Amino acid sequence: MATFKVTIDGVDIQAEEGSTILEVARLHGIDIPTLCHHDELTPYGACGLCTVEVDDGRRTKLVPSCLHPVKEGIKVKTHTERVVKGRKLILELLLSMCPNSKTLQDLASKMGLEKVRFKMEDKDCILCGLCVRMCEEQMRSGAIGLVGRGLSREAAPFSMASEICRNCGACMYICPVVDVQCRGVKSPGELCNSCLVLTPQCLEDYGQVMCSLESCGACVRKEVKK
Amino acid sequence: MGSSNMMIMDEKTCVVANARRLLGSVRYESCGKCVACREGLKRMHEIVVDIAEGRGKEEDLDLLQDLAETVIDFSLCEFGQMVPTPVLDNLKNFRYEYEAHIKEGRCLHCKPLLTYSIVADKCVACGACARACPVQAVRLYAEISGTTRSYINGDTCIGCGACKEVCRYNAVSVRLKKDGNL
Repeated sequence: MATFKVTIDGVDIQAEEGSTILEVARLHGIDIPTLCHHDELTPYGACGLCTVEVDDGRRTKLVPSCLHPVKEGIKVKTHTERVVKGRKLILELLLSMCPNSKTLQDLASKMGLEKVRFKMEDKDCILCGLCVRMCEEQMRSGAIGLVGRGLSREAAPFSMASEICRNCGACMYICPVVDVQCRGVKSPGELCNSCLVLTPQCLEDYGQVMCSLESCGACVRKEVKK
Repeated sequence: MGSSNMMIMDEKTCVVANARRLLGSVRYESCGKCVACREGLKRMHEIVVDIAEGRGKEEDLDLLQDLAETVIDFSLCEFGQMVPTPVLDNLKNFRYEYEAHIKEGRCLHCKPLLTYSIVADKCVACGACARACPVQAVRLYAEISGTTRSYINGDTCIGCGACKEVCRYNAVSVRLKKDGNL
């Protein structure tokens, strides 16, 4: 397989042809934040957090690193001022939609975001498409999709009860915003544990974990203490 | 304006009202895949509406600039890369109009910032304004003193300016709501 010489954050790397900038960066321990990306699912490019600056010799442009393939001689910068400022603003936009999501709050803390300057809503979907890709590619059902356009876009089983949905719960498992909220420490020594994942439904229904993600059973954890 | 249209506007056009109208219609054209374009355009519209209606804050202009730049940089397709450019050009070339909306509530064209009223001395009660008003906000009233004159109901008035245009006696005055001056 052919390799290309690329430079990421000043580090010269021989990258395999056909790989994306994100794959190459992560392989070499260079951290690029993502939200709508999962290694086992096809990349989508909806969130924009993985955006990096690419200099291809002719001009500099901002591209989503989860989608952009490596090319010979490109120089990639993952944390320029323009990129970091934009990532923080996108996170502000996401948090203004779903402020109670633990995943988004964690990302915000990591990026040093403290204040959201927009009117807050309380939605439960950021339209990242992870549930759709999970259902289609891992569970091989394809029971849900992203329907509608623009502001009326939603993830739905095409506005009717789906006959092919097997109630496996994989969509809920992969969703980054359908998190249980933190309730804090109740008494000395007792943690909230709300974000421990519940037993996936597929385990009860089929007697085994049905997806190929973390098939060591890592998704099976203790029941939430009520 | 991003769609190969050429629009010709005279100096009486309010750029804030124009940006509001542009963003108001174009945000529904977004396909909605990337967060920057879908949410960014929505919030840009919200900010411009606030500025147009006199609720703008000092920080809003920098936020509008950052939002426009982020939508351009982080969108996947040319739609998001194109649509915010009129707003950026507005902020570069007509920033004083936006600032006037925010700091002084000053705009001769944005209706929510203005009040229309009748100058009693000049009104001859011809009734032209009452006939011209599309929402019947202008009536002729007979006062206790015996004189009849027009009166504009501020709640019903939509600020179209028709009464001012038809009055031949300069009896309709327009003032800024914020400080009463023009």
